Amino acid sequence: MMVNNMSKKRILLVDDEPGFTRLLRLVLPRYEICEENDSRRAVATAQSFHPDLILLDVIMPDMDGGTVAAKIREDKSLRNVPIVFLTAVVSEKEVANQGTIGGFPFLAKPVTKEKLVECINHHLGD
Amino acid sequence: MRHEPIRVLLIGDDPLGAEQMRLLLDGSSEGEFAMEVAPRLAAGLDRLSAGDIDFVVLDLNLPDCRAGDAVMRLRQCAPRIPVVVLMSPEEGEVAGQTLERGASGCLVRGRLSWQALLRAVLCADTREPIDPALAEEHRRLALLLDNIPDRVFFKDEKGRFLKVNVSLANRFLLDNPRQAIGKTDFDLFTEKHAESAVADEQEVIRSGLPIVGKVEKETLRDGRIFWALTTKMPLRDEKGQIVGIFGISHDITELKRAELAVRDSEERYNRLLDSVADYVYTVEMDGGTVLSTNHGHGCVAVTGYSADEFKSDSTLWYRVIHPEDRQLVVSSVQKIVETGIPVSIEHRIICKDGSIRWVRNKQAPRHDGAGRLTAYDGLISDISERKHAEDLLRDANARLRVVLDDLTKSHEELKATQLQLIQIEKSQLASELAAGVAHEVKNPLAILQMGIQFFAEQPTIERETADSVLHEMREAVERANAVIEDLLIFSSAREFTMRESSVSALIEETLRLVRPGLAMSGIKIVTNLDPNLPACRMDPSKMEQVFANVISNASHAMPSGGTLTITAISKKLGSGDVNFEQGDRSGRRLRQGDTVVLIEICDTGTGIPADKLARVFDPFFTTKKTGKGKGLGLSVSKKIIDLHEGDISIANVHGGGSKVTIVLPIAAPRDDG
Repeated sequence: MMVNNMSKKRILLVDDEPGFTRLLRLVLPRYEICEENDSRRAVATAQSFHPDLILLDVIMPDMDGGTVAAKIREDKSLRNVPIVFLTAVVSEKEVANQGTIGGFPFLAKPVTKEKLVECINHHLGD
Repeated sequence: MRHEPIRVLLIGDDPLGAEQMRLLLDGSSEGEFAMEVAPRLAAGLDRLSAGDIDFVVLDLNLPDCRAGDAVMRLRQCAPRIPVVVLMSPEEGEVAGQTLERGASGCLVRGRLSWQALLRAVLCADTREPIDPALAEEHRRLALLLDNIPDRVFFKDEKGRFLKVNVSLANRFLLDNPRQAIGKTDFDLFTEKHAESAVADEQEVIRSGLPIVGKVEKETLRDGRIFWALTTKMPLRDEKGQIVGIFGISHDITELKRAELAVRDSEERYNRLLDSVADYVYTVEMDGGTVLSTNHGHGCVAVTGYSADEFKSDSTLWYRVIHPEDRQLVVSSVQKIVETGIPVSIEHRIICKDGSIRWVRNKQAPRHDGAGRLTAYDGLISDISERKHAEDLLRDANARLRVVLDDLTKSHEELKATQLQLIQIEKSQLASELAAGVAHEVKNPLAILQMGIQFFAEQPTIERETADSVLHEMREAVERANAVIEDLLIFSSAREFTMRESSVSALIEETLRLVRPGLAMSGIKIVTNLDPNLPACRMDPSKMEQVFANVISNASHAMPSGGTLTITAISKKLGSGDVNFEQGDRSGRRLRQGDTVVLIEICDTGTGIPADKLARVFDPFFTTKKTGKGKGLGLSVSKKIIDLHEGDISIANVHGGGSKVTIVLPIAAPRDDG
């Protein structure tokens, strides 16, 4: 879905939990959020949506987040889009250490809105 | 048997007597008789001179003569013809006189008997007029010969029997002694015996010396064997010439048999004695000193020394004991002397040939009435064989022990390795599990978090939006809860309440709950549940969870409808029915031959990709694309089945779809109910 709205940044949210993606979209009305629940379609959706940021779940059926991230990076047009993992399988301690997963920054679920916004703004360069 | 009748002349005028005689003679079975009657002696004598009368019956009451004279006259005229007098019971004296004058016998009127007649006739001496005294002596001799059990015989110089007695006749199964006359030993005995007997007799005749008291073994022609003590003497005529032999033979068969039996018994006893390898000995004592030692013959077999050698050498017994064991033997003897208690020791001896053997020496004391030790008896048994066998056994045992130790060690090592493997697996599993649980719980939590955020921020919320957010939140809570629940089961932290119940009933119950939902999805249900299924021990609610899980998977595999087939039967496990590789690591196994309940749940859905089949029971594994229900699912079901000591497996079905096979053991009969 291509909406040309310069005031809103576009975020692609790839997560197999529709409940989660839906709620997240409700909670972040300031951004234009595209929900993708099928990891296999993530790359194609990214190519057509042209997100400014991609939030990526790690544990997903069919294709996990790491593979999706790699595929996204393979695409020239998407090479520079910031990717942040949003994952349940890390502890807050690990987040505090500010490490990376596979070279990508990450956030731990469950995540507060404040943290999310802070992270998004950071990577959007605001 | 004569062809002519025997002619009898009755001299007498008593018609009654004549009649009686005639009756007697007619009734005989001895032969045919012809009787003539002469009323007076004169007539009788005339008749006799004609010649062919065999014997005379003389009535004592003759008209013309006195009986005695009549007998004399008859004897003079016809000396070869026996005369038998016919008397009345009261005429005994007269009859006696006639006997003295030469009558052969008497017949008593009214008591006419064949035996008397026959005896009189057959035994009559017909050659000469008889001297009464001689006749009496002859009678006595005949009595003796015919009644004694010894066998008496007279033979001529050619060995032919002249006379035998009744006993001999009986021995040879002859009807009467006269049948032996003219026969020889060759007719009665075997040739071998006869030859030997004849040789003896010839010697007697030649030398004139008797053979007295010779023990002979008689073998008769019919095979019977007797033993006899025989005396043979030369038979001389009036001139003193040896004309034959006579002999007497005393039967000693029984005696001989007894003698042989005794000898046999002795021989057996001696053989037994010789074969006894043990040997007994007796030591006689007074106070503490040895008076004498007596070693039985068994000593030879055990020691090589004979009883005599022990007897003649008073210290031999000590030297025979192995030097290292002598103290033991001596102190055991001392103990017997002191305490009087039987003792059994084992020690070595040095045999005559120098070899060393082990023996058991059992010593038992003997006491007199006052309680003093008088002797002790010993029994020495050769136990070398046993000792050798013991040694071999000990060696074998030791070797076995070494092998056993090795095996035990290997077993321990194997167990340790197995434990390690289990630990590794568990830790792998644990980390997988932890990751999975984290995921399954944190996602709902994330939803809750977003939901809370939503309600906290929006000042006014559309009813519809609020409802849907709350809905998501509630579902999230339930999901998280369900996952924790599954996790607890998966870790077996929960208790199972086992009951014996029927699987068929449980499946029916589960279907009842899901039927409406299945119907709505266009899924047809086909069941084949044996109503008489043997009971299984199970936790019904957990088992229901399993069935619900499997049915739910099946229905998800048929999103556009299909057929769900459930069968439950009992059977005996065959070799192809259970995949032993998948068995529980704790060792519980379903074995071939076990009776089980077999449940199959088939769908006509998409089937499971081959590469995913192996991982189907892994925790958090799912082939579902998105959304809810991504719980522990089959891994929990497998855990539940494992805890029920059963088995669960999945395979694809020809023609599309999958089949889940669950095997449960039937409840064994329990005494405690």
